[in-house]
Amino acid sequence: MNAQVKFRDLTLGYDRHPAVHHLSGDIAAGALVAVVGPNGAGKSTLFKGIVGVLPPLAGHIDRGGLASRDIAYLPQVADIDRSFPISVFDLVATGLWRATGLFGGVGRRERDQIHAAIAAVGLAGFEQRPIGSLSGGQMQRTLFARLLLQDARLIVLDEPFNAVDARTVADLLDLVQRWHGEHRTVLAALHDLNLVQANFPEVLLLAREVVAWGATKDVLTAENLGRARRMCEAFDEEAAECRADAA
Amino acid sequence: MVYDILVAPFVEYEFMRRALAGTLALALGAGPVGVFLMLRRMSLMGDAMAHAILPGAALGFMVAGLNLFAMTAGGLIAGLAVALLAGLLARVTELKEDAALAAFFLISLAVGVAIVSARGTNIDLLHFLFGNVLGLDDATLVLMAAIATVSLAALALIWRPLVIECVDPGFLRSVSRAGGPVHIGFLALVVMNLVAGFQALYRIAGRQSVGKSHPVRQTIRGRTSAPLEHVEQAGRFVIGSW
Repeated sequence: MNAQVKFRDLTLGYDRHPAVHHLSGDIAAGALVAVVGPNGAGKSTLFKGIVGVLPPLAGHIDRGGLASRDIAYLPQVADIDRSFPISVFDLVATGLWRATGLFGGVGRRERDQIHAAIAAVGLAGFEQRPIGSLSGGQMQRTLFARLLLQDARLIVLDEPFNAVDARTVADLLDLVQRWHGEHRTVLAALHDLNLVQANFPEVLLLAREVVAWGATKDVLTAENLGRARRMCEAFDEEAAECRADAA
Repeated sequence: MVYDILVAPFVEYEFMRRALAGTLALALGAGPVGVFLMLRRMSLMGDAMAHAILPGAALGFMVAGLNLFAMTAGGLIAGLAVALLAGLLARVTELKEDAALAAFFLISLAVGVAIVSARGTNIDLLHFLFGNVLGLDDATLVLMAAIATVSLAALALIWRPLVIECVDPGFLRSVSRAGGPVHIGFLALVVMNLVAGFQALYRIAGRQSVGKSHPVRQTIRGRTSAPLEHVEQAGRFVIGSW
């Protein structure tokens, strides 16, 4: 299988404080990879690097010719201003950016697509609701509807199931499996190891550097998880100034 | 009664109609820009920039006297300089943008006051700060209308990225590079509207605005009604001080 994303000795960080060190490896096209690690392990940092929001401090990311429009990125919920008076419909509509760009219009065909995406995440009837009135689960469904419209070949999900109830997680996981079935490459940062074991064939265990990477059953061993935890703690003691930057 | 209060002044006095046209133009441009300032939690920014344009306007006044375009250009340059410096400082240091802005606008205000008092022998600082909406001349009205027009057109142009930049900047960064230019364009709109507001609310009630052929003076001379007495007094005071 072709490599979709290649890391070559990649180091990412903020203000010259590295948060992810010397990462090398490939993510195959169509892979479904869970990125697991303690808080501050560099998962979000790695995702920002993959999406291209954060330029590498050293090393190189090869996105296999994917333009930024071919990559869909779901940031952590905290990055979105929920008090902004925008409707579910309008927020989901931004997923059509690839088709509409800065100035393109939204016609009947696009409106049908938007309604279909909102229905697919189970939010039919919520189109005109402001996003501030949504529950955490409904907000996450809205963002998944936008991901559906983005029609991207690489989908990067940063902690998509935080503060979301079991029913919503199950519905959203169905969408993730659907993307996997369509041979899209999906990366997701997750904390729930049971969920990872049940749904993700491949795991990247991160603790500021790669602890283990491969088939889920080989990576999620007690030994590896303990090592990841110790590495993050040891790192914090060595370099206190890095801690504030950990994302 | 309602007619006397709300309609009659505009029917009777041309300067009231001018004030109405000017403030309507101001409302059209500044209203939407202000809404976005609030939504982006940048309302301090508007306040700060209003003060930051003072030294530019004062320098324009020093160089060219009561010249509309010199003072406007000076205000624009000073406002944009403060906005850019604050943005730059926020990027290269730990300081947040609002803190950087607060520092720069106070410096800018101080410089402005220093310039005005160094030169302001014949114009009271107070009159520099509190202008006269009743003294809008043709050039000022055209400038305010132009700024309102440009603001509305520019907002329509950058609407989509501006909204997304507010609600979900991470998403905008992931799909487009428009975020940075849109932010700077928006700041430019803020400064432009502040300069337009400066014309109406902060403009010097000077010789030019209550001048020979100006409707305010003619009207006041012709028929003085009680509410307009203070206008006449202010006009006399300013004319006298020249």
